[in-house]
Amino acid sequence: MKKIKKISASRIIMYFMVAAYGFVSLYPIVWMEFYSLKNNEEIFVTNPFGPPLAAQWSNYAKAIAQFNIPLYFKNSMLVSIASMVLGIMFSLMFTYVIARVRTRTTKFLHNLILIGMFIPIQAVMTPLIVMVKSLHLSNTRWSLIIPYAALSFPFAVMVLYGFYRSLPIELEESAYMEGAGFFKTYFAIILPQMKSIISVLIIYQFMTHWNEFSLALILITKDSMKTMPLGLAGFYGSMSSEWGPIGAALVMASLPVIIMYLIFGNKISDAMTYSGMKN
Amino acid sequence: MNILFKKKKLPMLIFVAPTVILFGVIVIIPLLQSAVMGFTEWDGINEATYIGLKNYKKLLKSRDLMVAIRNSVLFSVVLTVYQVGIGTLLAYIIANFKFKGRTFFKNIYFFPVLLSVSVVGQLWISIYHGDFGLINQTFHLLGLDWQQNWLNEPVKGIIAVTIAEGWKGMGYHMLLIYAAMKNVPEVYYEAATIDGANKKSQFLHITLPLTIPTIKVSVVMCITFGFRAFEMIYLMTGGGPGNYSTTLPIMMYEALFGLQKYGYGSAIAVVIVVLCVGLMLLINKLTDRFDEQY
Repeated sequence: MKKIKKISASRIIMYFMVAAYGFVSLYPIVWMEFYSLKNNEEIFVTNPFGPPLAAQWSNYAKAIAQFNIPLYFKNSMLVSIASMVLGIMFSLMFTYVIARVRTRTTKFLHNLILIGMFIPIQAVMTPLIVMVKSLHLSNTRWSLIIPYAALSFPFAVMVLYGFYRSLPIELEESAYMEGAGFFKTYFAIILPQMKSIISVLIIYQFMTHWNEFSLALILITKDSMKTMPLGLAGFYGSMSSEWGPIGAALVMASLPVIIMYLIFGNKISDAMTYSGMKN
Repeated sequence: MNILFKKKKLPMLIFVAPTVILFGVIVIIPLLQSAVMGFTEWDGINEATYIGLKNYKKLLKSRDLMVAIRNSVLFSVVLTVYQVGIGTLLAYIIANFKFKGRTFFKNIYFFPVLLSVSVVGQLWISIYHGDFGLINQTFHLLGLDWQQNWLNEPVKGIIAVTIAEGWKGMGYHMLLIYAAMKNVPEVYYEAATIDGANKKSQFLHITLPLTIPTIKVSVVMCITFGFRAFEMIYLMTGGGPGNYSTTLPIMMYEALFGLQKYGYGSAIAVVIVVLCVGLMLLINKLTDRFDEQY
């Protein structure tokens, strides 16, 4: 009898911890969504915590008009999708050869790319600024797309390598026996086997690029080329004025990843779990 | 080389080339250039001049350096306690106890990971806001007079930023540790239960030893992150007030964009790389023996 009581007491503490951190984790986001629909009077004085009494949808219209949201949104979309496509395509091709042919050269290249995982971004920043300037790529989307793609290689190669190695070599043996060439074999037989891991990579890389801040900060100065995170940082000073439209902008900036999470929830968790294997 | 691929050298070259070229141009060459530029004085426009170790000496003498190191250590410690400490606890509860809504809570914990650093930074600026922030409003509601401008305080400021960072990333580490705990074969627990081991000793003798390698990865990430910390600090305090919340990457950013000193900036970058890689190797070395115990 005594034992049962003890267990339930520790269970209650456990549930309490789970629920309490759930609140800590979720409430700030809910609070942000609330205040995106309030006016200053309500946020500051009358109703700081609860849901909006009279939803101010005009905040969203104001945010779009004041903060160039559509422009940043478009830039981020273009940059994220282009870097994702390039990054995944090249790492798929590269890793295939690396996984199938193990010579001294390919092992060296493999390790070289994997080392990239441990290099802080600051290590390449200064030369990148100089390079972008000297190639006259300043304030173009390419100045972000190419570095984003290149910096995505280490993680993609690490994940893809394991998957290629798990494919039986008999796939190629029989294809070559029937006279198929290298490219045909790869695109018709090998690539379709990789569908599930490619979809994980697509989600992971898109989100990484969508949220990237440091490189965009040092490589883009012109407002018309800014990506969403950089654009958002631009109106940080305006916190003293109206909070509602700022909240609205934050909510809109988060929408794509929120929608992706609602649709692909588990895939995102998978991708994140892979990324932890990197050390 | 596998006989199958003997005659396919050209197609293989075509497959490998784009990645090697891009990675070389964007990562490897700049990495080497940074190392070289650290020994020069350069404004990014005129000729660079070789000045030996002067940049490093200048960094050593800089008044900001000690503040930066202190902030990084603070950042590392708070982040490790927050993300790995709370993360392990929550992962353990969710992985080992069956109750309604645990997937829901796991998803909620993970949610902030998805948000952009700009969104989280701005959100927490409003949470810490000196007049109308969530924290000060809560104190007001509770009748406490602890209101203050959290980000403007010397030590509290950097801790406040770290908590925002920890809040954003906790779910990621929780998920890693959760996955590792889920990988522990069920039979171990069954055997332990038959042997009469209670939950506590199961945790200490089965769960923890088998998840230690993953926890170690998380600890390394958190600790090295303190020395790479830039985005959240840049966005929330800009390194200020004064230099109270500066870190090496903030100093580097100022050297590049405030002072146009590319050589000095590169020297700081080299120090960041050495610190991060060195710390990673050191932690792995120190905990090697710890791993072998199990």
